[in-house]
Amino acid sequence: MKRYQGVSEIELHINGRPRRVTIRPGDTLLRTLRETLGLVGTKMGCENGDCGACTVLLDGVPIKSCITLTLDAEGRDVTTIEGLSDSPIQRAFIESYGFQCGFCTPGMILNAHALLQSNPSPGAETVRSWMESNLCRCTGYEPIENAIRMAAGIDSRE
Amino acid sequence: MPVSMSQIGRSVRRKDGPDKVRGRVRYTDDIRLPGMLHAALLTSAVAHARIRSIDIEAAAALSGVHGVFTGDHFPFRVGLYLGDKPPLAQEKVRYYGEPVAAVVADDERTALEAVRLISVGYDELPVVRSPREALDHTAPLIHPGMADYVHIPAILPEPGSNVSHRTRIRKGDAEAAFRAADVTVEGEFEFPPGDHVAMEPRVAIAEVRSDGQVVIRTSTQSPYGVRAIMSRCLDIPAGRITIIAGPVGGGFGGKAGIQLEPLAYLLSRSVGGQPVRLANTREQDMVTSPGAPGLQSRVRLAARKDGTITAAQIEFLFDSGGYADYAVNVARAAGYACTGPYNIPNVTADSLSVYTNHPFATAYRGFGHIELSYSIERSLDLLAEELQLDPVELRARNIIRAGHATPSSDVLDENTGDLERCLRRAAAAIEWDAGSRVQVDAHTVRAKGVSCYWKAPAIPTFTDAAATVSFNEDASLNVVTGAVEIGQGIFTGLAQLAAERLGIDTGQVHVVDEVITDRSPHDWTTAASRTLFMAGRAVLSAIDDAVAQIKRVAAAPLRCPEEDLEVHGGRVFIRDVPSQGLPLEEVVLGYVYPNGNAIGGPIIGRGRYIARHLTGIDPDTGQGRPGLEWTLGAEGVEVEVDVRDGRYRVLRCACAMDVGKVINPELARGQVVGAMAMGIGYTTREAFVFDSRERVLNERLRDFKIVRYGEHPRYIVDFVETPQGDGPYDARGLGEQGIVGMPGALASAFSRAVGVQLLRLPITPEYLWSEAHKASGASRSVR
Amino acid sequence: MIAYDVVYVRADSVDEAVTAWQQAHADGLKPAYLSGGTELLTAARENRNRPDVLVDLKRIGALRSVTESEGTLRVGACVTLTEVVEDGRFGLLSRAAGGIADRSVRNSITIGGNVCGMLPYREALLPFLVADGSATVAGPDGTRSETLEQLFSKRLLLKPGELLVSLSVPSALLRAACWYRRRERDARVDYPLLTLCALAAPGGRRMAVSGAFAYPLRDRPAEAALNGNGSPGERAAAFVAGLPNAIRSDMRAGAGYRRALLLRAVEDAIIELEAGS
Ligand SMILES: Cc1cc2nc3c(=O)[nH]c(=O)nc-3n(C[C@H](O)[C@H](O)[C@H](O)COP(=O)(O)OP(=O)(O)OC[C@H]3O[C@@H](n4cnc5c(N)ncnc54)[C@H](O)[C@@H]3O)c2cc1C
Ligand code: FES
Ligand code: FES
Repeated sequence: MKRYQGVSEIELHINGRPRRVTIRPGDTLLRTLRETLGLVGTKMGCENGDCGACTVLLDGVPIKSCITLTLDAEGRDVTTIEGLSDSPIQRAFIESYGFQCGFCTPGMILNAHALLQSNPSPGAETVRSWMESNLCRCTGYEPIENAIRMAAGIDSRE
Repeated sequence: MPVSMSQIGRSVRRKDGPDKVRGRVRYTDDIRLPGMLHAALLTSAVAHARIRSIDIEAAAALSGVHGVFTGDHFPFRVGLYLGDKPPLAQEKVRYYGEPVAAVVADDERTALEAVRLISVGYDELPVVRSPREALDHTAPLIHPGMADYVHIPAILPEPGSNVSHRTRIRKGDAEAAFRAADVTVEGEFEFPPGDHVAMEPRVAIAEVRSDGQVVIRTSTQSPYGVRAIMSRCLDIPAGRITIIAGPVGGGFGGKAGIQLEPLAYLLSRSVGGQPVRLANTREQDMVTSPGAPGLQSRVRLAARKDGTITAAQIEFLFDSGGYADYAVNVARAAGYACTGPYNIPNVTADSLSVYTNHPFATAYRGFGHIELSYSIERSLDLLAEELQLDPVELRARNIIRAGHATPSSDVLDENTGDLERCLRRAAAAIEWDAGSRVQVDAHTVRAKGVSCYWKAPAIPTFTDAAATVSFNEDASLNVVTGAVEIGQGIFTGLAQLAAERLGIDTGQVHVVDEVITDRSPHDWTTAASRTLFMAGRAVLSAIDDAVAQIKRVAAAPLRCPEEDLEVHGGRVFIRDVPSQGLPLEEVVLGYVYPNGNAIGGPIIGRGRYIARHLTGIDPDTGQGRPGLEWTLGAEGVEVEVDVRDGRYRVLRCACAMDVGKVINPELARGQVVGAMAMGIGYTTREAFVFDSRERVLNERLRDFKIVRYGEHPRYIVDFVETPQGDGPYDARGLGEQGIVGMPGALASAFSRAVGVQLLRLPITPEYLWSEAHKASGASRSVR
Repeated sequence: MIAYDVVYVRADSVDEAVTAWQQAHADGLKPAYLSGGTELLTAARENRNRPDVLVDLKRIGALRSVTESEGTLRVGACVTLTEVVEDGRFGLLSRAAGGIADRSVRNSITIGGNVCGMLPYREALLPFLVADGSATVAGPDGTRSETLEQLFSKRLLLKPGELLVSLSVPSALLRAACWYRRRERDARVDYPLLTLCALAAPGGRRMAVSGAFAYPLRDRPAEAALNGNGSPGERAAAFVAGLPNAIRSDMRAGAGYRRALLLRAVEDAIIELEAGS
C-alpha cells in the first residue's frame, strides 16, 4: 500500500526519459505535464473528458489526461506530442492539411499514431471508432481522415 | 531563388505545419510569466436577479489569496458599440453564467477553492425568455438605465424598451407591391442561441508594468480593437496599452471584439500590477463569454405567378442575451443584407437586437447572414411550394446580378460574382435533376435541398490594414501585419501573395506570427473574411514600396534610370538586358561599392489599405453602401432520414462559391469544408437548452454536441472565379460563407424528407420524428 | 483537477482497500474508492462530489482480470471497458461496453466504476442483469456474492465501505442469442436516450434498459409479455405498458420520443430473437 498526502516527489517516465516531479495527489496528468513539466503541447479544451485535446499515450494507449491522475502514470510510459518528431502521421497531417488552428492537433495525432501502431492498415470503421474520441472544430474532419489514410498507405482520394 | 511557376492558385503547404504537428505552437495559455497570479470567477447561478449580498470574507481569508473582487470594485461599463456591461455584475445579474466575483491567488487551485467560499444572495426577477417576449410592453426592462449608455452613432438603442438597436430598410414601395401580388407567403422562423465552441477556451494574461504600461497577452482576433475599446471604456491612453496576440486556437467570431481583457487588466491593477492569468473553463467559455445569437423572424414575400419576387416584408429579432456586444451590429448587417442574394425591388425590413435573459451574443461566423439566409431560404421554399415551382428554378429566376440593387440600394458592379453558375453547379453536384426526394424503402427517404447565400464583410467604413516588409542578409523578407492566425492559414496566403509579387519562393517570405500592437502596424480585426483581401492588399503595396526603393538604390551601381529596372526572382536587373543586374542580397541592406563606399541602407516597405467608397446607412431607410465586396455562392445537400425514429445521415454537401480567384486551393477548400461542417452542427444540434428559469442546461461539452469524426458527409467544393478587380490577385473573402447557406439547404432537404416545412432549429431526430408523425396523418408533400 | 487537498491511497489488495476506507471513515473523513477516475475527477472538479481520501483499486491484481471457471465468467471490477470489448467472451457485454463514451475514455472507464457511478445509465450493467448475473462484493464484514436480483434495485445495494470485486454470469448464457441497440439524440458519442440489451435464455426472453428511466431497469414481471402471444408489436406494447416506471424527459429528449424508441426496440428485438431461434 502506498499513501500520498500533501506535496510529494515522484518519478514519471515521459517520452522515454525519467522525470522527477513534485505533485499533489489531486493533480491530473494534464496539469502536471503542462504546468509542472512545461510540456504544453498537450492542450486543455474542456477538462471533462469530452474533447480529446489532452490526449496522451499511457503505455501506448490513448487516454484523456484531464481525467487521469498523475499518480496513475507512475511506473508507466507516458508519450506526449513532444515525444513524436517526424512520424508518418505527422508528415501526413502536413501534407493533407489535417489541421487549421492546430489546437486539436496534438491529441488527434497521438490518437491516430496509437491507432496505426496497433493496426497499420485500419478499416474505415476502426478509424472512426478511435478518432471519434477527438473533437475538431475547424476542419470538418475530412482532411484528418485523408491524413490517416495517407499515413496508413491507403489511397486517399476515392 | 527564381521560380517560374506562379505562387497563386497553388496549394503551398502551410507555414505553421511543422510546429502545429509537433505541438510547438505557443498559444496564449501556453505562456507562463514569472510571478504570474491566477484568477478564477464566480458566475451567476440564476438568469435574472438583484444581487442582495455578497460575502467574500472567507474567500479573502484563505491563504494564498491576493484579493477578492466584486462589481463594486470596478465601476466601469464596457461595450464594443454600446457600453452596457460591467466587468463584474453590478446590482443585477442578467444571464446565467454572468461573472459576479473574481479571486486572484498564487495558483489556480487556491483561486478555485476561494471562489467556493464566496456566497451570494440573489432576489430573483422575472425572466425574459425570447426577443418577442422582450418586445411585449409588459416585459421587464433588462437595462432600465439604457438612456445613459455611451454608444457609437451607427447604433440606435431605444431606451425604455429592451431594444438595443434597430436597423430599418425601406426600399421601393413594398405595400403597393403586396397589393398587386399574385401570391404571397409568410413564415415565422426561430432558433435558440448557441456557441462557437472554439477548441481553445478564451484566456487573457494582463500586467501593469511599473511605468504604467498595460500589457495583455490574449487569445483574440482583434488586438487593435481591444486596445481601442479598453482605452475608451477604462480611460487609459491608447499608447499605454500593448496587446500581444499569438496564434489563436479557433475564433469563429467568438474572439473578435473585447472579451476577458478588461477584467484581467482590472484584476492585475488591483494586485499591484503583477501578471494575472484569467482563463475560461470550457463551461465559462460556453455561457459566461458570449456565443451565437438566437433569432425569431418573420418573412412575407410577394410574387408574380411566374415566380418573380416583387416585394419582401421582413422582421428579424436577434436574441442578444443580457448584453449587446456585437449583436447590435449583427442585426445591422442582417438588415442591410436582409433579402439574401435575390433581386427584390421593394423591401421593408426591421432588424432588431433585443435584450433577453440569455447568455449574451457576439459575432459568429456568418455575422447575421446564417440567420437571414435561413429565414429567406425557407420562405423561398414556401413560395416554391405555393407556386408549385422547382426550388432551383425559383431561385435562378430571382438571383441578384451586376446592375441590381441591394436592400440598401447599393448597385452591384462588375466585380459581382456569378451566382447562377454557382447555383447550377451546386445543384448538379448533388444531382438535383435526378430527383429531389427518393423513397429508398418503406421508411427511408433520401431528400435534397439547395440554397443561395451572400455575404459582405460587416465592417466600419474606414476598415484598414497595413504591412511592413524588411529584408534579411539572404534577401528573404519579413512581413509584419496586424493580422492574427486563427487557423485560416493567413500567413501562408500572405506569403504566397508576397512571393508572387517578387517572383520568389514562398519559403523566402517570413510572416511574423505574433501581433504586438506597439510594433505591428494597425489592422482593424481578423474577422469578416476580409483579412486576405485587406492585409493582402497592404502586403502587396508594401512590396511595391520596397521594390521602388530597391530600384532607387540599384539605379546608381547599375547606371541606368530606375524605370528601366525590374525586380524578380531575387534579382534587380535591367529589363531589356536581364543579364545586367544585382542579386538582392547586395541591395536590400544597402549597396557597397568595391572601394567600401555604401549607399541606400536597409529597405523597409510600407503598405496600407483602407476600404473604398463605404458609407453608413440612413437611420430611417437603411440606404447607403455598407458592403465592400459580396461573396456569392450556393449550397446543395442530400440527407437520408429514417422516418420511424427521425435518425438521419447527411450524405453529401456541395458548395459552389465565386471567390474571384483561388490563391491556395487546399486552404480555400479547408475553409469551406470546415464552415459546412459547422453548418451541419448549427442546423442539427448546436443550441442552448434552458430550464424554466432560463438557466442553461447544456453548458458542458458532454451535453452541447458538435459534429464528430465519422459524421462527415462527402464534401464537394467548387470555386467559380469571376475576378474581384480590387482584390489581391482578384481574390475575395471566403472564410465564413460556407456556413451561411447550410441551415437553409439542410432544412429544405429535411422538410422534403418528412413532408412538412420545418421552421425552427435545431432539427433533431426527435423533431423530425414528431413532424413526420404529424405529417403521416395529413399526407402533404413538399416540393 | 482536484483543487482541494485530497489523500490518495494505492491499495495492493482488496483487504488493504477495505481497511483504508474504514480507517478514513473512522477519522471522520469522506473516503471513496477510485477506479477509472473518469467520473470522480469530473465531479470533483465541479465540486459535485468532494471525497477526502481516494482509495485506488486499479493496481489490485485480483480486480484486473476476466476469468472463466466452474461454469462462471467473472469480470474484475477494474477491468476497463476497452478490455472487455476486446475480451469478447461475453458478446452482449462487449457490445454494451463498446457503446459507452468514446474509445479513449473507455481505455480508462472500468466496469466497476461504470456500474457504481452516479449517472442514470450504467450501461455495462445491462448484460449482467439479463444474464442472471451476480456480484461479489467485499467490505468490513468480509466478502459475499449475491445475485443481482438480490443486490440490485435501481443501484447496487452496497453497504458503507463495501466495494465491488467482480461481476459474473453463468457461462451457459454467454452464447445465448442476444440483441443490443443504443440510440442517442444525434451524435454517437453521447449518453443514450435508450440502450436495450435482450437475451433469449432457455426460460424465455429478457430485456434490460438504460436511458429510458432514471436507472438501469430489468423488470421480471413485465417480461411475461415478451414471451406471450400476439404480434411482436402487441407484445412490445404490453411489455412497455407493464413497466412500472415513468419514462424520463430531459434536455436530450422528451418521454414521448423515448417511449417510441423503446417500443420499436422491443419489437425489433422480439422479431430478431425469434428469427434467430
Ligand atoms: C466523455 C465521457 C462520456 C461518457 N459517456 C457515457 C455513456 O455514454 N454512458 C455511460 O454509461 N457513461 C458515460 N460516461 C460516464 C462514465 O460511465 C463514468 O465516468 C464511468 O462509468 C465511471 O467509471 P470509472 O471507472 O472511471 O469510475 P470512477 O470515476 O473511478 O468511479 C465512479 C464511482 O464509482 C465508485 N466505484 C468505482 N469502482 C468501484 C468499486 N469497484 N466498488 C465500489 N465503488 C466503486 C467510485 O467511488 C465513484 O463513486 C462518460 C464519461 C465520459 C468522461
Ligand atoms: S481537455 Fe481532456 S478531453 Fe478535453
Ligand atoms: S484544427 Fe482547430 S480544432 Fe482542429
